[in-house]
Amino acid sequence: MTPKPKKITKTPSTASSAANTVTQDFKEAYRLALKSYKEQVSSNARLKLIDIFCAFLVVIAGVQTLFMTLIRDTFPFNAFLSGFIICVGQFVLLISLRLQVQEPFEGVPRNRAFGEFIIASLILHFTTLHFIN
Amino acid sequence: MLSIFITFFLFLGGYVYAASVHASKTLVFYDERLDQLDSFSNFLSDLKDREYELDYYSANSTADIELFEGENRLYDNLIVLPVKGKHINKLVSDKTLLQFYNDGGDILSVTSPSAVPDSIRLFLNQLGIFPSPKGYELVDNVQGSLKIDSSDFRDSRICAAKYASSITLNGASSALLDNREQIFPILAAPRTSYTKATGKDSWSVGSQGFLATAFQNLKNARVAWLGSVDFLKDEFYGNNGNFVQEIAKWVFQEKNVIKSVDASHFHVDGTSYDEVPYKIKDAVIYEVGFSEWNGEKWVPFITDDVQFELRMLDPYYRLTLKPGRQKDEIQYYTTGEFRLPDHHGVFTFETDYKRDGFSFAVQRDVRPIRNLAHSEYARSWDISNAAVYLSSIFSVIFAWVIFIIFFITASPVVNKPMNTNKKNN
Repeated sequence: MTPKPKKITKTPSTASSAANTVTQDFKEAYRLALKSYKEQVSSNARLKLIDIFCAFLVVIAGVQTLFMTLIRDTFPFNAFLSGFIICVGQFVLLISLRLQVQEPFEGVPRNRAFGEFIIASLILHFTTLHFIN
Repeated sequence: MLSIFITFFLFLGGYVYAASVHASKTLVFYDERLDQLDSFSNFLSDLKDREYELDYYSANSTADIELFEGENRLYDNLIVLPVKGKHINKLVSDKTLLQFYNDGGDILSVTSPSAVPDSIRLFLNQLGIFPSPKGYELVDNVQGSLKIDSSDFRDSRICAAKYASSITLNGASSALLDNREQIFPILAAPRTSYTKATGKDSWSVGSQGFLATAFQNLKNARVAWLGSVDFLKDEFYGNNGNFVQEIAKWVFQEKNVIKSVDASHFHVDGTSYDEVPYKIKDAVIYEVGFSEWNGEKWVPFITDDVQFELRMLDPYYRLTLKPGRQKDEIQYYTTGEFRLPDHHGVFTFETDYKRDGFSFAVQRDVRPIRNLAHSEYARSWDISNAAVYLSSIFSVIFAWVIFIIFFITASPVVNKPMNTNKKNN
C-alpha cells in the first residue's frame, strides 16, 4: 500500500524524473538480488555447483542451436532434438534439486531428493541416448 | 552331280535374294483399261529379281479376289496401281485394307489423277494421308511442266537424296498430310505448283502438297503412297527407277528394318533384379541390343542416338546410351552406371527408339523400386553434422557424473542463518 500514495505524489513531476526513479528502483532491486544471491551461494558450495552446471547446460544448448542456424539445415533432427532436450531436461531437474537443497519440501528429506534427482537424470540420459537415431 | 549344283544354286539364290525380312508373296492390283502390265515391266522385273512372288489381278476381271482365308493373310505385300471404277470398292473395301495392314501386310499404293478409288482414299485418310480426289491434277504454270527439285526432297533415310533430282513426271496428284509422327513425307510438290480441278478450289498449293509419302504403324507395317503412276512406268524408269525401287525396298521391309533385343538391367555388381530387388539410390546399369536387317541377315545396328528413360509418369532419367559390346548380330548400348532416383514407386525402364524411316523399336520393363527399410537409413553417427549434437550429449552426461561426485564430496552446509534471512526477505 505504501508505494501507491508515493506514486500519486510523484505524478505532477516531470516524466524524466519518474523514469529516473524507476531505473533507480530497478538498480536497487538488482543490487539487492545479486547481493542476496552471492550470500546464498557463498554459504553453500552445493548451490554454487548446481548453478555452474546450469550455466554449462545453457551454453551447450546455445552452441547447438547456433550450429543448426549457421549450417541452415536441421538434418539429423533427432540428434539435435536429443542434444537440446538433454540440456533442457537436465536444467529442469537441477532447478528442482536446487529448490530442495535450499529448503527441503515437507516430508522429503534432502537425501531422498538427491536420490530422486539421480534416478530421474538416469532415465533422462537413457531416453536421450535412444532418441539420437 | 546335277543335284549338288541345283542345291548349291538354290542355296545361293535363297541366301542372296532373301531381300525382305518377311516372305514376299505379293499381290498386284492393276487395271487393264488404264495401263497394261507391260508398261511396268522394268519395275516388276526388278521385284522378281529380288525373289518377289507376284500374283496379278486386274480390276475389270470378274474373278473374285481374297486377301484373307479365314483369319490368315494370304499375301505379305500389296501393290495397288491406279484402278478405275467402283467395282474395286466392293472387291477390296477400306476395311479389308485396314485389316490387311493392321495384320502386318505392307502396301504400296499408287494413284493417278484419273483413278483414285474410294476404298484406297478412305484407307489412306485413316492414316492421315489425304490424296486429292479424282479429277484434281497437279500443274505448274510457272515452270511449264512438273520439275522436281532436290529441295522438294524431305527424307533421306528412306531414299537417298541423289535419286530424287532426276525424277520426271507427266501428271501427278498431290496429297495433304496430317502431322502425326508415323508419317514420313518423302517428296513435296514443287513450290510453284498447285492442284487444279475444273470448277473447284485447288486441293493443295505449292509445297503444302506431297507427291510421295510413307507411313509406318506401331506394329511396323508400312505403307507408301505415290502420287503418280509415272514413277513406275517403263518410259521414265531410267530417271525414276532408283527412287521407286528404294521406296519399294523400304515399304516391303528390305531396308531400315531394325529391332531391339535383350533389354536388361541389373545392379552394378551384376546381380539381377530377381535376386535383389532395387531400392532407392541403388547403382544400376541398363543395356539394350539393336540389330539391323541388311537384306540378307541381321547385323549390328550402329547409331549414337539411342536414349533410355526411367519413368514414373515423368521421366526421372533420360540418358543417351553409349555403344558397348558387340555380340554376333547385336550391338549393345549401355547407360553405364547410374543411380536410381531418391523416390520409390513403380518405374518403367524404357527405350523408345522411334526414328523417321526406321522400324519403331520399343522396350519396356516395369519394376517397383522400394523405399528404404527402417534399418537402412544412415545412423546419426554416420552423419558428420550429428557430431556436434552427439558430443554435446556425451559432454552433458560426463559433466553430470562429475557433478554427482562433487555434489557428494562437497561439505553439506546447513545454512540456517541464510534460510532465516531469506524468510525475512
